Amino acid sequence: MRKFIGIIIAMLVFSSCEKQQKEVTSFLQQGEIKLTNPRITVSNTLIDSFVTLKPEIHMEKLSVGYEENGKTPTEASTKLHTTISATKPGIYKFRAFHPDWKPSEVTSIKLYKKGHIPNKITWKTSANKKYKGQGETTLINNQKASLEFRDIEWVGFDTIAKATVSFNRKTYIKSLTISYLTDPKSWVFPPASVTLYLNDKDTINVTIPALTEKEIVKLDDIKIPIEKEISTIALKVNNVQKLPDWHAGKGLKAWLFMDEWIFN
Amino acid sequence: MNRRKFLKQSSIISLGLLACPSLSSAFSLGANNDVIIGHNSHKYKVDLTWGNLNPLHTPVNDCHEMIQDSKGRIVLLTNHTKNNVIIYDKSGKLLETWGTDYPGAHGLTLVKENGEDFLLITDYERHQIIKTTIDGKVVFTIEYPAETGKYTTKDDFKPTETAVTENGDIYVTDGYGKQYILHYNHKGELLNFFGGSGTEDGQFLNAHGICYDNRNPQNPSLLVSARELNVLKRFDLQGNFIESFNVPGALICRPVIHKKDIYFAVLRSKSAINSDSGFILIMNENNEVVSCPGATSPSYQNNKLNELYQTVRLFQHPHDVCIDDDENMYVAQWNSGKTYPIKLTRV
Repeated sequence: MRKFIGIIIAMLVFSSCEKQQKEVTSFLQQGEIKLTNPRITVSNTLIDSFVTLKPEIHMEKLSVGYEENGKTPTEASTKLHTTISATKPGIYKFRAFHPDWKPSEVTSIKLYKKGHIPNKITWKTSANKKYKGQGETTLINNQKASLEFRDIEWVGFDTIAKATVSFNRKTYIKSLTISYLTDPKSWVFPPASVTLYLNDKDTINVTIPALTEKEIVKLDDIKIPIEKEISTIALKVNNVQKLPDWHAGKGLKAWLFMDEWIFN
Repeated sequence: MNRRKFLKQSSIISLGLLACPSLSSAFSLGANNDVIIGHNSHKYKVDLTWGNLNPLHTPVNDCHEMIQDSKGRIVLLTNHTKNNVIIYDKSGKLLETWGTDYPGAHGLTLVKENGEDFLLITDYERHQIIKTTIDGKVVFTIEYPAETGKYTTKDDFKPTETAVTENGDIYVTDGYGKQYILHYNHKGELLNFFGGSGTEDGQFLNAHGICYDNRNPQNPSLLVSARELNVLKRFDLQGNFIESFNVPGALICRPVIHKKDIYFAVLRSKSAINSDSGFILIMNENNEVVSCPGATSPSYQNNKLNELYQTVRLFQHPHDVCIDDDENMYVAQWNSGKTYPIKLTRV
């Protein structure tokens, strides 16, 4: 009899076990879904002496790990609880962690060394009237823009961008970095190519690889080695003339949005 | 029961516990491991298995909108022309399907007339509004509003949503077209229109959704989402602008009133790097945002709502919500990889 009662109890436990398991598994469990990439507010991505990086902590128990050396942050990485200062150029990587959710993907922020500021910029073509930025010197004003293309620091072209920059005296320029926005859903693509005319003598041509990713919005740049004493550089930055087949506007022209030309 | 008996029976129970391979984890997987999303008064557990069907038999493309009918059934509208309308019970069991003629099936509104349920479907590819019985028989269609003088061809008219008042009047948002709100009587005859494209108070960029707000029966009004502007706008029934509510960062789809609250699917977060960055937004009767499942906790500074954005990659492109009579929510998603709706169980 006792044996029989025991078996019945055990069966009930098994049954409740199965039922409990079914109820539980119908709901999303901890660790099944990723966190969204962390948002980091940067005072400026061009470093003069230092810049500040501030995480947005939007959930209880959320932590943001970061690495300065290009490594992917892990749970063991230094946690960013509040604003920090950065003095070195490079790629800073951030990742969100939370006990209920899978770690996020990585947010990368590139910090640049502030460059030489040309004394003059003369435009040969005009930005679109809706996206003139802060005026003619926006691309050499030592201010980077955000990911939002309506940001006043973006200068938007629906045609080729041509300008000449000049320095008061010959300046050794190691490289030129042209930073731009990639936002395919808003028809904003990287430049197709860049041509530089150095001191009215030498020419440098650079072609930028065609975009293959469809969704990602990001700040990007192209760094062009120069290694010369420079008094003038004429720049011709070509926008994409035909959007690719995968894009909703295939065959039409792309927008080109630039926020800074950095002469290091 | 003496101590010996108790110990003996306990040991049998313990044996049962050990013999069930996942029992210990089943218990530890109790409420503590169910993730809960949302804030304040509106928190939910997430069920990703609700309503999942065999896509070979009952496929979906975009799941655009959902309603609960008078029988308590959950009605889903998809633009898959094998079965544009899929009807579930609340447990997610398939009851029936119908509809093969709605390639641009987008808006779904329940109309109750003399105890009978009807549906209003907006189809932006057919450029029409179609009134059907609950089992799919067409009652009438409304064509593009040429008489307004604002439309050259039917292609200009891409209706996204309808709202119906107690007297049967129908309001239609042309959210993918010319951004007008069209006002018809119950027979589908045009009475008025207002709105249009722009950023002024009475205008829209993507007038995506509309609902009839009779929470104050003495002063009923219309709520219209201007999705690209991240704004909800209120109008009187004649089309005069009354007020607006900013929801920074939130591309809100149609407003859905349930009891005193307004619920929205948010297609995406405005400044997110990924497009599939949607979430859910809930306003209370004072039009304050009180909960954003899947997103940042709503907070106000100097009476201004701070920017909202997705915090977990749960939702992809939420397009509509349906709140059932148990306060649970069903989320239909656009461009989510042909997934079926997500159920959120209120806790």
